[in-house]
Amino acid sequence: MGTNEDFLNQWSSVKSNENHFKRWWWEIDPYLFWSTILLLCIGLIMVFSASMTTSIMSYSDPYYFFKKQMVGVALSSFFFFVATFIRLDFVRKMSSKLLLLSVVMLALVFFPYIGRMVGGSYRWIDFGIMRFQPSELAKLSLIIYMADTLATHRHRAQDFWYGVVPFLLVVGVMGVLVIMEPDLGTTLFLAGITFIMLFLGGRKIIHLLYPIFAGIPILLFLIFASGNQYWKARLEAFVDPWKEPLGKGFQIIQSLIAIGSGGLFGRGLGESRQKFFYLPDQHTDFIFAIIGEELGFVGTVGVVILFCLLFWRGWQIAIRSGDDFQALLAMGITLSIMMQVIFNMSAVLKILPVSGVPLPLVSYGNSSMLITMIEIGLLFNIARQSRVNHFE
Amino acid sequence: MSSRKFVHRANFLAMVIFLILGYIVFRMFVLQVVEGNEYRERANMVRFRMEDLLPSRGQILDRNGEILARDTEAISVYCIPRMIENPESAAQKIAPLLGLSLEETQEKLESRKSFVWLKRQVPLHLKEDLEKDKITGIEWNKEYKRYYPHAPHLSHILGFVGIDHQGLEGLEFSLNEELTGKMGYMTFERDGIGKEIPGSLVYFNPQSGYNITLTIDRTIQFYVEKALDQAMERTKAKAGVVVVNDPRTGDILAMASRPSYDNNHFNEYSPEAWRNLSVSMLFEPGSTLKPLIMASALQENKVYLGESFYCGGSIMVYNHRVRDIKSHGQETLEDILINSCNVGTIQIAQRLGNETLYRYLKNFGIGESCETGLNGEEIGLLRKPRSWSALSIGAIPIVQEMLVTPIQLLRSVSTIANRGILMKPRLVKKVIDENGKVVREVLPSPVRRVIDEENADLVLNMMKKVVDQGTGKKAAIPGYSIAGKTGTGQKIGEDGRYAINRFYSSFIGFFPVPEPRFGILVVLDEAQGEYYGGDIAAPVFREIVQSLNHYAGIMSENAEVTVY
Repeated sequence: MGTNEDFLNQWSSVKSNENHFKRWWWEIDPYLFWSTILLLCIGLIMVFSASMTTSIMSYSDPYYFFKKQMVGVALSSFFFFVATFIRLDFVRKMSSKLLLLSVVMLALVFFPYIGRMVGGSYRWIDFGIMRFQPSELAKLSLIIYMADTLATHRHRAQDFWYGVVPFLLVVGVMGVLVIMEPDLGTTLFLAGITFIMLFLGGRKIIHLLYPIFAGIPILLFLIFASGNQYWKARLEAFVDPWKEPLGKGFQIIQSLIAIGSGGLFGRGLGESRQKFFYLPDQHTDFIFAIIGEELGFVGTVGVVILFCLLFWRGWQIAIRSGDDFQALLAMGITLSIMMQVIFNMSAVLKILPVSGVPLPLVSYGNSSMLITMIEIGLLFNIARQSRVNHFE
Repeated sequence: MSSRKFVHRANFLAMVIFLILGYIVFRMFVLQVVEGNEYRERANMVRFRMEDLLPSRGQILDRNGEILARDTEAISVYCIPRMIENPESAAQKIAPLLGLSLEETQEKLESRKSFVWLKRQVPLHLKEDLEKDKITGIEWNKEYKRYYPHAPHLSHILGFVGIDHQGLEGLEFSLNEELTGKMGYMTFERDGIGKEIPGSLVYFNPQSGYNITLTIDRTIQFYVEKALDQAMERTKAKAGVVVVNDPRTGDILAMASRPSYDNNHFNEYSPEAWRNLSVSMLFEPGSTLKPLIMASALQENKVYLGESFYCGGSIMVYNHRVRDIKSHGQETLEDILINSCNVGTIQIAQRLGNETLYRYLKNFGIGESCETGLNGEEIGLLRKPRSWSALSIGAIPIVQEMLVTPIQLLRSVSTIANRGILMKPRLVKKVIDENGKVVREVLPSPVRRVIDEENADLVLNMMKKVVDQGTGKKAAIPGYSIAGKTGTGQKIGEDGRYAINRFYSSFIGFFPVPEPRFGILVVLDEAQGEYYGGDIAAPVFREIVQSLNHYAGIMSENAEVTVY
C-alpha cells in the first residue's frame, strides 16, 4: 500500500480497484478482524433483543433502537475503513488540532441549541440525525496526542515538571469540562488513560504516584462534598445495594439477578426477563447483564474470550511495532478499549461501582461505536505498517 | 524498534489486564453457575404472576340430586402498591367499596410488598364498580366462593372450605382431593411496570372437581334437624345427635347434631361447634345395646324362646350388688328386653362368658372404625376380656364400661334389622366427573354376617314389642310396626366415677317391621328434668317417623288393629 498517496485517493482506489481490496484483505490481522466482527454481530443481536421492550414501549416499533444501531455500525464501518488506510504520519501531524477540536466540542455541549441535555447531563452535541458524545472523541484524541508527544519528547522521560505536568494540565482541562457535564466516570477514565500512557512512555513510577495521591482527595471531595448526590448514591449502592433494593440499589440488584439467573447456558436468545423494565439501561451500559441472562455463563465467557483475543492482537501489534508513536498509539488504543470492557463488566458484576462506561462494540450508542471502530481501524493500520501480520 | 522499557511495561499492563479479566470470569462463574439458581428463583419470585385458575369445586348432591354445596363466582381484589400513584385518594375510593377501614386500606396500598390482597371473595357485582372507576394498580381476579343452600342444615356433614378453597372440615375436607379438581393456571410474567410480558402467557384450563352424590336425603335431613331443634328446646340437653340410616344398605340418610353452626359463616362460630358429634361423641350406649347380647345368646344357643328368668331386683356379681330399677319377677326371654331388665341381661351374659361376649360385641362392630371419612371420627372402645374388671361381666351387659359413637351404635344395632349382616356405613354414593361419567361408585358393602337370619328376626320382633308394650311406648305410632330400644346411660363425671343425674338418653328404632327401611338413633346428652331414653328420646324418634311416613309413603298397615 503506497504510503505516499493521499488517503482519499487510496480510499477511492479500493472501490475502483479490486486488486487493492484483495491486498487489504490479505494484509489484515485475521484474529483482530474476526473477533471485532463477532463482537459487532453479538452486539447487534443483543441490542435488538435487549432494546425491544423499550422500543415498543416508547416508539411502538420493536426495531427502533436496532435500526439506529445498524445505521451507527454502517457509518462506523466507513470510518473504520478510512482509519485502516489513513496515513499515520498525517494522524500524528493532526494530533494537537484533534485535541483542540475535542476540547472545543466538550465546551460546546453547554451551549444552547448545540448541546443537548439528556437525563440531566450535558453530554451530547446534536447533529440533527445523530447525537454525538464529544467525551468519546476526547478519549481517542488524548491517546493520539499523548502518543505523539511522548514519542517526540523521549528525552523528558525522567523529568517530572516537563515530562509529566504538561499532560496533567491537558487532561485537567478536559477533566474539568467532562466533570461539569457531569460525568465522573469518563473523567476518571481520561485520567486513567493519561497515567497509562505516561507509564508506557517510560515515566518514573514515583512521578506518577505524586499526582495519583494528589488526586485522591479531589475525588473524595467530588463524591462526598460537591453536592452531586448521584455519585454518592452510586457508591452507596455499590457498598450495600440491599439497603435500598427499590431505590439506589435497584439497578445493581436487577443486574445481578439478570446475569445470575442466566445460569450456565442462559434462558435462550431473546428470553431475557430482566429487560422488561426491571433492569434500566439494559441495552446500553448493562447489555452485558442481558447477555449473561440470555446466553448464560457460556455467552459471557465467549464475549470475554473475544475481547481477550482482541486485546492479545492489539498488544502484539503494539510491542512489535517499529515506531514509538505507533507502538504507544496501538497500546493506548488497546488498553483504552480493555479498560472500558473491564469498567463495564465490573459494574455489571458489582466488582466496581457503576461508572457509566459502555461495553465497546456491543452496547447501544453511536459515539462509542464510531470511536471504537476508528480505533480498531488504526490498529489494523499500525499492524500493516509494521508488518506483524499473522500470515507473515 | 520500540524501547525495551516500553515492551516491558506493555507486557506488565497486559498481564494486569489478563489477571483482571480472569477475576471477572471467576465472578461470572460464581454468579451464574454457583449461585445461578438462587438468582433465577429470586427473579421468578418477583416476576412471575400466575393467576391460579381455580377450578370450580365439585358440587355435593344429595341422593335425589339436590344440590347441597356449590360454587358461586366472586372476585378477589388485590393491589400492586408500586403502581399506585396516590395511595390516599385511592384508599378513599376503594375502602368504602370493599367495606374496609380507611387506615387499613391505605396501609396496604403503601406496603413495600409487590402484591397485597385487599379483600378476597367479594361479590361479583363489585367488579362493575371497580371497572367504572379504575385505579391503576388495583386489580382483581375471579374466584369461587363456596355456598351451601341448605345451611345451617348439613353443616356437620358437609363442613366448609377455607379462603383458598381447600376443604377444612367435614366431607369438604375428607373428599377434598376429588372435589378440588385440577388447578388450571395462567402464568404470565410481569414486567417491571406490572404488565404482561408478550408471549409469556401460558394457559391451562382448570379441570372442575368431581361432583359427589351422597346417600343423604335432604328432606329427611330437614325433618331430623327440625325434630332435633325442638328436642333440644324441650329437654335443654347439652348436646344431641340424630342419625338416620337405611339398615339394609348402611346408607346414612340424615345426620344431625347439636351444638351446631352455619357453614356459610363458619368463622363466626367456635371450632367446638364444628365438631360432628355423630361420629365423635363417645358415650356409654346403655341399654340400647341389650338386643345385641340377646342376639348373641340366641346364636350361641345359650338361651331359648319361652325360657323363663327371675329378676329379684338385684343380682350379686363377684360380691357386688348390681341393682335394677325394680323387681321384674318371673319373666320370659323377651320380657328381659321389653323391660330392659338388667338382672336378666346379666344372667344371659354370664351364660355367654367373657370371651364369647367380647367376640360377639366385636363382630357387631363395637370398637371398630366406621370409616365414614368424616374428620374427627372416633373408633370407640371395647376392652379386651383380660382387662375386664371382675365387675365387667355385670357391667358390660347393662352396657357400661364401653364407649361407642352414635354412628357406630346405629350400625351395630342395624345388624339386627338387616337380618344379621353388619353393613359398612355409606355416606358417598357416587363420584361423577364434569361430563357425567362415573368416576367412583360406592356400593353397599356388607362387612360380615354376625348372627343368623332367624335369630335377627327374633330379636327384631322382641324390639317391636319394646315399642308396642315396653319401655319404648312413646315411640309408637298406631298402625305402624316399629321396633326399638331405649337406653339410659350414666355419664362418668370428672372424677372418673359415675355422676348422679347426668345421663345419656337414647332411643334406637327401626321401621317398618318386618323389613325396616329406616333406622333412627336419637341421643340426648344431659337432658334437664326427665332423662329416661324412653321418655325423652323416643318422642323425637316418633316425630321423625311421622314425617318420614308421609315422605316415604309408608301406609298404616292395618287401620283396624291400631290399639294395643
